[in-house]
Amino acid sequence: MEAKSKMIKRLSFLLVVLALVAAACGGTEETTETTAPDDTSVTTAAPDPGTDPGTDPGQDTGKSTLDVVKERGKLICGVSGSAVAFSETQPDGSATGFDADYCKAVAAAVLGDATAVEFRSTTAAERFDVLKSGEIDVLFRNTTWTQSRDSDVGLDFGPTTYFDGQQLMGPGNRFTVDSSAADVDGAVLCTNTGTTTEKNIVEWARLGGAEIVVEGVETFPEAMERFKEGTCDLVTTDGSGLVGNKATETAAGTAGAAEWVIFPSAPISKEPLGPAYRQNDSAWADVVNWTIHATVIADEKGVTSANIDDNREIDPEAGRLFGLEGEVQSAMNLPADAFYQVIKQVGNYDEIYSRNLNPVGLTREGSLNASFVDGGMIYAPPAR
Amino acid sequence: MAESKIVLPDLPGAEYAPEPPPQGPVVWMKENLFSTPFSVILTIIGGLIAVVSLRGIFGFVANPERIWQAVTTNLRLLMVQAYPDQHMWRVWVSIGVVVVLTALSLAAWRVGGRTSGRKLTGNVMALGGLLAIIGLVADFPFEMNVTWAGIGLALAGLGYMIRRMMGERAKAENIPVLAVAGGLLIGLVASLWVLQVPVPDPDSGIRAATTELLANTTRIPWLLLLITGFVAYGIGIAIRDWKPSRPLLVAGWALSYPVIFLHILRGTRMNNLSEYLLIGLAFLVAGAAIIYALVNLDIGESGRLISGILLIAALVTWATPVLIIIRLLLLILAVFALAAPTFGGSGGSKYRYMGIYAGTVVVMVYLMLLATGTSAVQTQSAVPFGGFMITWLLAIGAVALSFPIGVVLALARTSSLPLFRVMATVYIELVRGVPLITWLLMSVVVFPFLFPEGVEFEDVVKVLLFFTFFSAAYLAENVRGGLQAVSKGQAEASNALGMSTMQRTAFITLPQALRAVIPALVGQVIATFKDTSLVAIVGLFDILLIAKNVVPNQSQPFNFLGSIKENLVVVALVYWIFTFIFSRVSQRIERNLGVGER
Repeated sequence: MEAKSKMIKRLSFLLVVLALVAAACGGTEETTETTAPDDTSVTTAAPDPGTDPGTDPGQDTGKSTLDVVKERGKLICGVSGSAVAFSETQPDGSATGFDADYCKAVAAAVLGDATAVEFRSTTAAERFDVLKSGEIDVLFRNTTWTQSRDSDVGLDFGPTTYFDGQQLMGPGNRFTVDSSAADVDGAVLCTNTGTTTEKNIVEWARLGGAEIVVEGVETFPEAMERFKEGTCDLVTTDGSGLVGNKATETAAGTAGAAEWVIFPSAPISKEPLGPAYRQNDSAWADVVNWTIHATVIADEKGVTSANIDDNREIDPEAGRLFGLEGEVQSAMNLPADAFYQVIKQVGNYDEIYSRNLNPVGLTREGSLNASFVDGGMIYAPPAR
Repeated sequence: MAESKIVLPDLPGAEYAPEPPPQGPVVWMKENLFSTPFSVILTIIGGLIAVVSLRGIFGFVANPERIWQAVTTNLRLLMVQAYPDQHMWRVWVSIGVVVVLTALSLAAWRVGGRTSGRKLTGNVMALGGLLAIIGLVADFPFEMNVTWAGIGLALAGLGYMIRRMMGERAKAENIPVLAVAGGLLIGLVASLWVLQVPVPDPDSGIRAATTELLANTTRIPWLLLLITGFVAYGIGIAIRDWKPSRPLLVAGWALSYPVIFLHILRGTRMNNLSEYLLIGLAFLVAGAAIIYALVNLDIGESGRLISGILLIAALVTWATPVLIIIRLLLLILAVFALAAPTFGGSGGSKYRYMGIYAGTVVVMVYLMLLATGTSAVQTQSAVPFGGFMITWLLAIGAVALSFPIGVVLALARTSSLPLFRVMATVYIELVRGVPLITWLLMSVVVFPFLFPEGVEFEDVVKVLLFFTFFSAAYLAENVRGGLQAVSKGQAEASNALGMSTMQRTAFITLPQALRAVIPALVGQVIATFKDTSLVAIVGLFDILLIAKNVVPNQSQPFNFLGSIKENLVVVALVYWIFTFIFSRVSQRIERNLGVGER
């Protein structure tokens, strides 16, 4: 008995020592970890090679993502992989869509080859984490630019490529394009839960003094199924999604689909969709931003993938952007013909838009995504 | 087992034997379906439910609104996600490895009995009957009703005719089951050259532009695989009397998983080969020397001191940025050093113990080499695996790896040594107390912080490890239930025979315990298989996520928007087929082991 209790005492002493050692070690580890994410790209002191998560380009190596991409010879671009017309995964595994095309545009600018892209399908939940950790170089994933996301540690947003906004869709015999909150009183609305979409619509209805019944489902396709069955009177999501769904259902001959109306005409939320990249990496940010600007400027000047060879120097600005000199591009550490390759291989804004979004019924005319000369919001700073 | 037959002597008066009871479908129905008024009511209600659901299900499938092309066009995406074209050979080589091993094992274990013509024709007639019933009740277009009913009746008639033609011979159990299975496989593969499937045209966006032979559209050389399987079976028959064939096959199965996962499908590049080999060699030599010294009982107290220092050093390294392989090997060495006086002993067991240590080090170096290597296959997702491939790899890996861990945990929890018992209990309760989803999220989000020196495991490796740990905890409890079911007398009897603890566990209690919990273990396997769909939460694209999110969002060029129902039905069918196979195999094992008969 005596010997046994002695042994237990010894054992417990050993365990306490071990626990203390472990706790002390845990503590030191934590402090090194919390300081790590703060010293991004511009590192003052060389990080301990032991604690450096070597897979993080642009974070700890002090190198711009631009150099990382050039060295690798390939752009790793985060997309959704399951967003209608924005980024779809084809049966053979390839990626297509509006966002996917912008990935290709960036690759064309940096590497001169629009096919040098490795697409990475990301879920909504993980997209920012994979960007911050350096697994992807840039994120084109119909991501809304918001204050909290922008000011979040490790993230910056580029120019908006698509201006979206949340709207509602209902049958034509109950609603009109001018319907307001008052008209949806008592209606049953289906939407996918856990998104800002749901919060927006509840807030909007409350402000308008209407009572709506929100029926939550997990994904938007499920909401559409219920809407078609008549279980819900209304569905809501971003306007682009509603137009796309209406167009495809109309094409498929769903009863009443042609009469569905999308309202209110001024969307109930602002959803500017654009690229995101790691913060404090200006060289890379400039490349992504000006790739987008170049497509917009080309659109303003009517320079397309078909006619760019004849119109490279159509005016001084085009000459600077697409011309043979390419001084500014060289200063950006890009090939001189970077933006010429973008337009040549991928196309200008209008081409990218029409190719991907027109087939699902999204048109530029009259929308926020028309060029500023036509009263829209698509506008680029001058190339000088 | 040799076939035995009791031969009855021709006794006088055998002609007075009782008359056989009346037989036939009418008698059967009277006895089983309409025996009492209550069962008449039950039969009618049950029949109605069956008819209505059959009508509904098959009506759903045949509804012209259904876009089944969404599934057929995207089969590749559903099975292997964006696995690149030039690497597709890896997929079918993997299938080939499994086919060869299966065929060899079938031969080596002499699987497959014989069946009678009566049973076979009975099956054909039942299948025909089912088709005919579906044809009669389903909510089909009229011509389809007629076709199905016609095919069903023809099949049933064919079965009946063959049975009549065979006459008395039909009762003899002389048809090998494997021959029937082989014939069916040949028929299936042959159908590839008969069946025409619609082929979509991506340029025009027409879903069914042309039709093509199924054989020309599939990317897997099924004929080659079939021939390989038959050849392997022949080789298996030739070598099955060779004694080491079965142990070799078991080793082959055990090796097949890491080989398929890491070498074939992932094409792992071993980036740290020379470095890791050097470290491994150092640990082999130094470790062997230390253990050789420690097993010597004369070393006394200072031996414990050495192993204690080793253990503390091993634990301290986990807080420092030394290579992960060094930390792991140091920990293994410490554990082996601590246990050396217990297991080392003298003479032969000393060298056996050192051999086990060496084996552990080699396996660990090999696994770490592969786990930290990079993949030669680049795909769209974060990992080269996706679709049904990831479901399958995770399920098999988690089940196979968690089985030994679970058994060890169960033994530890029932052990009389308090340290083992407490450690096993804490592990099991901790792992079971947290939902699997939380563990999966932790595997991706928290796990990297445990290894700050830059060792990056791919998500799929992390997820596999956590699936294994999770499944092992549940498996341990199942096995513990089995251990408790073994009567105490068994252990006492083995003690009386002078068996060691190891011998008693390995030969007496554990086999009986495992045999008793086969249903629970199969339940665990099925649960793990289905749980793999949770990997969607950490951004891995398994078959369910692709079916739910990716395919129904394809607008160009084929417009499969809204095809979510079709996809989910097919995914459900895929899951069901495999879980059904698991449960049939387990029933067979139970029958062979005689579970439930005593």
